[in-house]
Amino acid sequence: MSFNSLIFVAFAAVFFGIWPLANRRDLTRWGFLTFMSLVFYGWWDWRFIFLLVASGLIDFLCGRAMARTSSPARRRDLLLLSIAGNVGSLAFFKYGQFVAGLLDAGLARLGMPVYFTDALPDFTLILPVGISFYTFQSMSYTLDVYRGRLQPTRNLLHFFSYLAMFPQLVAGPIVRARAMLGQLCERRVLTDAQVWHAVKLFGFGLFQKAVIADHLGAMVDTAFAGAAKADDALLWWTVTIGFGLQIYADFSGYSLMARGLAKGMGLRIHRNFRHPYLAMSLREFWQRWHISLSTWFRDYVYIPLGGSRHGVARGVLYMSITMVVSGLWHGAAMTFLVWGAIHALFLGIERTTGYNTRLRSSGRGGSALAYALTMLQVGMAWVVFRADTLDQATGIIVKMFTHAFSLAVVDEFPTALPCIGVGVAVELTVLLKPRLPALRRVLAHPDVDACAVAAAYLSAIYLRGPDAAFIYFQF
Amino acid sequence: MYKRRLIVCLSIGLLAIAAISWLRPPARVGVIAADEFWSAKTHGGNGAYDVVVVGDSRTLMGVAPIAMREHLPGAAILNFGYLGAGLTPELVLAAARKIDASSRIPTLVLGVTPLSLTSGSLTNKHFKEQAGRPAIARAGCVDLEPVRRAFAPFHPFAEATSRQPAGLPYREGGWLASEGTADPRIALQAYARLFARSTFDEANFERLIATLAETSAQGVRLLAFRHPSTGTMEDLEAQRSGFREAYVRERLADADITWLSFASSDGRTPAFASSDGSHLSQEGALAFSADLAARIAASQ
Repeated sequence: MSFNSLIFVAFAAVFFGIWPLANRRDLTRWGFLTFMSLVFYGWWDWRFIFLLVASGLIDFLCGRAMARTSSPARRRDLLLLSIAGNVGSLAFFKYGQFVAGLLDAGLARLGMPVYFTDALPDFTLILPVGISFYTFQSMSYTLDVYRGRLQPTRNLLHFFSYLAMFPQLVAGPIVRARAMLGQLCERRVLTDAQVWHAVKLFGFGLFQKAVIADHLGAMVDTAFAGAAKADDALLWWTVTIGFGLQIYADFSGYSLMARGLAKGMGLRIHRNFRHPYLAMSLREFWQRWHISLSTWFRDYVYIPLGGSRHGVARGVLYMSITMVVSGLWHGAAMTFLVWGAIHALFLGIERTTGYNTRLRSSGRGGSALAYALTMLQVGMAWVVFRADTLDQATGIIVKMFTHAFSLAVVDEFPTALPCIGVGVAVELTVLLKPRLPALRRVLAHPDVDACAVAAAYLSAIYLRGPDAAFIYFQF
Repeated sequence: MYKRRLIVCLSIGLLAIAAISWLRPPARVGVIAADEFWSAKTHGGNGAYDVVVVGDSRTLMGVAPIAMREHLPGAAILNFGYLGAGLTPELVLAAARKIDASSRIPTLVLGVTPLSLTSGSLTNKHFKEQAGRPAIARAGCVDLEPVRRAFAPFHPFAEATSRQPAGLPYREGGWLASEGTADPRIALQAYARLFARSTFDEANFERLIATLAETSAQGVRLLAFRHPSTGTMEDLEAQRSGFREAYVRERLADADITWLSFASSDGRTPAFASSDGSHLSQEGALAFSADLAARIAASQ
């Protein structure tokens, strides 16, 4: 079930109605949270509960076995088993069809019509919701146990209450075991402030998703489906900006809702976004965008590969590998792979030439140029990310720079443009807040705060766009 | 202090909801969520439609009720298409249940494709999956309809956006609009493989004819047409599927089912824009549906 559905309202009412009782003891807390999380997950397709449980069981047992042995070789074997289980299920369910399709196409070109796609079972056509998120969470558990950074839990329910925890199960943030297992061992009594912040986080997240992302999604989908009446440069610039805001509002909205729900249980999940479109460089963008995934890749891929310890050239190579893998994490398609490669290329240029730092230190004009270049690179990469094919992406980018401008987009997408305006206004408020004490005082006033939250919920109800699944569910 | 914020927030919210309920303009329902879409289509609206079009994914993506209204004014139209659906008695009976027996024009339209009459399509997996969903899973979608309507969205740009034909793919009336484009060779390869495994199923066709005769006896007008596709796809279907259009038309005519022909004098169907070499694109679906509605209206 989705956070922005009626059935979730009923689910949340039941959950938070019983939670204060279940929260009194560790076992009831873990058991109730696990049970409700599996109900939440099984709502999409109950068969994939077994996959989640099997994937988690492997990691739980590997963690336990690692704690019982001091042999480094055995610990490494257990870690490899855990990684193989997680990566294997991810490869089979997420990349099986993609790889088989590539093999089919390659063999067909060689005059050998062999169809691996036919050999794959039907269920590989369905991507289990959130598989990329929970496998990464689960892997972080065994990796941290292996590195001695985490004591494995002895209780299966404790482990599953972390792994299957419904707020972040299907679309992140990717919560590390060492950040959550400890929290789940404490009975946390909510203060009024925590209740308010939970309500506020969920409301703002719902607003981002239902109002901004869903309205912009209608425009973006229409344009990428080739159904827009206008076909000029301004349309594609608007659509690119629209998609950049859509995916941000969609995913950031989900993360806020997840944090709000966790806060409602007295649990803390770290921020997943820190206003990435205020970044002045690509490096900074990645420090602000999908932080839980970026740091996961940094800690478990980039640094183990060698990080920046072996000079700039090797550092760029490791970063490029990490970015391409990160692209593929988003989906089994050439567009995602190329998206990762584009970011690797731009980051590599930024790191090796240092142009961004020089621009920013050359005054306001240079800073503005650095910002514009950063956003241009992010935007071009988003076109590739969203396009159905690389040909489509190339065609759109060419149109953005060669076609004539017309104002047809204003007439064609009247709802989307105000949403872009709202998105930009919110980011500007964040930018200006530290510099304008008066604005800060107004926003901090309790009644303004209460009105803003009420407005967020009311807008999410009455001004919501066409319902759509969260974009990141597909990853 | 935080309790006060909660109280203020709740008070404003409740007051606004009350005021909006009193003052709001009529609810606008356009694009709906996937879950809701399939539940409403499969489990909702029995006996609520004047015209039901049943078929496989070419019906699902190619028949847009919204584009049929001009030629069938006032008629409630349902697209009862499912992915990979076979035209089996079971599917046709389920579609017939959606028709309002007291309608002025109770009409069941069969969207025929060669694939939908092959033995491989008889399992009707997608339809059965939707039909078999537990009641609790669909409760939020169908049974809470009045609540949904009370909280339906509106916005200052409602009139302008209602002109937008596209948006997200799940549309009113059971239409799933095609998204994006795909290399038509992929569809051709897939269909070639499907036809290598299964071809026209005579036994099912006989059962279908018998079921249609029973439906017709209940006062439902029966029409059928072959979905347009690309010329290459039609060539492939002619060569590999075992489907002979002339034979199917003749048997349906014997059972008093009117065939709506879209073919031109050379036997080809006109080119409606396709998204992937098999299914119609959004524009293709809108144009084709208007044409289909005109023929349905003319056949009365």
